[in-house]
Amino acid sequence: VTDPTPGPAGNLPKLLDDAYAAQVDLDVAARHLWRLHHEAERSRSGAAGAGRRAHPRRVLVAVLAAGLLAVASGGALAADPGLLPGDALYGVKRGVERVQLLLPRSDESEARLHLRLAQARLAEARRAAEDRPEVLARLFDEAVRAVRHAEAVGGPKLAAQVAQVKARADQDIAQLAPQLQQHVPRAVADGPSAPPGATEPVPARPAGDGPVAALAAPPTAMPSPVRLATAAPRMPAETATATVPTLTDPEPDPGSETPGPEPGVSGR
Amino acid sequence: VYFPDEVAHGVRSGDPDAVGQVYVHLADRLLSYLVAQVGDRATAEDLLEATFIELLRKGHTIRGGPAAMKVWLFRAAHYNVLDHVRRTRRRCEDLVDDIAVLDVQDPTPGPADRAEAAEVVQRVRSAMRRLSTDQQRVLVLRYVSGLSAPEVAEVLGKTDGAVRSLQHRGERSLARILGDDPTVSVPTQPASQDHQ
Repeated sequence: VTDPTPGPAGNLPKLLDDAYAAQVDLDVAARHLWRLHHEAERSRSGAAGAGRRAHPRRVLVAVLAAGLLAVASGGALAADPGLLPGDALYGVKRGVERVQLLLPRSDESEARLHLRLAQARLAEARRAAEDRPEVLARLFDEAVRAVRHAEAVGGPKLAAQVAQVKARADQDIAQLAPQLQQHVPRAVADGPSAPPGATEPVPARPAGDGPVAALAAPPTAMPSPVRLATAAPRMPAETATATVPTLTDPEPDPGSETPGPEPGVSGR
Repeated sequence: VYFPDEVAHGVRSGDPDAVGQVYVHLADRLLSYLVAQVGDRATAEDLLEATFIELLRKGHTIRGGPAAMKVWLFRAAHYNVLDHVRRTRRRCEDLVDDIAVLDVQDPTPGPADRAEAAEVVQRVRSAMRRLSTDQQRVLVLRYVSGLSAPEVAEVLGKTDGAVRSLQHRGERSLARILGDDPTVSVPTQPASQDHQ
């Protein structure tokens, strides 16, 4: 059947779009994406374990994953400070976060998400302080990056929340300074063996009043773990000890090189 | 094309990150179709998840690039809807014949947040329920999910001509029903155009 009076289809398409267009909620998307990663993991472990008894660790992971799936949404998983770098599901958690970052539909929601991720990294750092201090520098670095991004896109509307997270970061870095400084020098010492392309000079100590005064820097000046470590000397005098000269020395050895960010920061 | 060839390649090799990329690009459109079909958002979200799990597991069987993958996804979602309706109908056949009567309508308001706009949305949905199931599917896939007529034909397993005919008749019926409604402004004789 052809219409004898062809013309514009009117606002029918818009009416239908208004009536049916749906957007996936962030938490739902996170749950789905976590499930995808879990399925992939299960598939891989199933293939690897075919024909032999499942490794107890795999079983534990499967049980843990099933429990998480039952009780927690992906959003909750993404915010779970219990999963730390090195844990079996940490990569899944970070994978969910990475895709979450692609989903926000406004600057404000993107800024809020980055703030949430910064808080997640700080929470992980607090939990990792005793058992895995070697991951602290990386976690603080990622927290700083996330706060900076939130500050850049959030605008004045989120200034209060940004300041709150900054203050928390200040506090955490000050409290964990001993553990932080204990492990960063090793990375610095490993610097010369790092590939030339992954090296960068230790920056001069920036001026500032607090441990994360570097946050006030433009967001384009993303800190590496070492840059974050150089902020340590700017901590309150009672916590910023001189036990790590490599970090506290504002004039780095001109011949020295320091490693860039560790690979696998994204959790994979 | 909504995502690059590399992503399609990743899907075929079972990479969950690649499937996640496809999810980011197509989940909204798929969810719109699923909500329109099953009427219940929570069920639609479950079907959406099942559809992407299928993509992860069976992506290696898809021949072609992103365009073929998109059609494959909508087709998988369509079959998931059919399965769901079949299961629900079986459970409820002693109570009601018409499953559409039983389905819970999406309680969340659409994009319109004003009461007046929300009322128009309800009237459009009500008018759509008076069309045949195939007409509803074609109109939603064309105008909400943004598929071309040939893509819709592939998804529904029909010929291009059948899809165009369903679209044209559906538009005419919908315009007539809504044209009788003074609160909705639509032309009474909409032209069926190829909404590519």
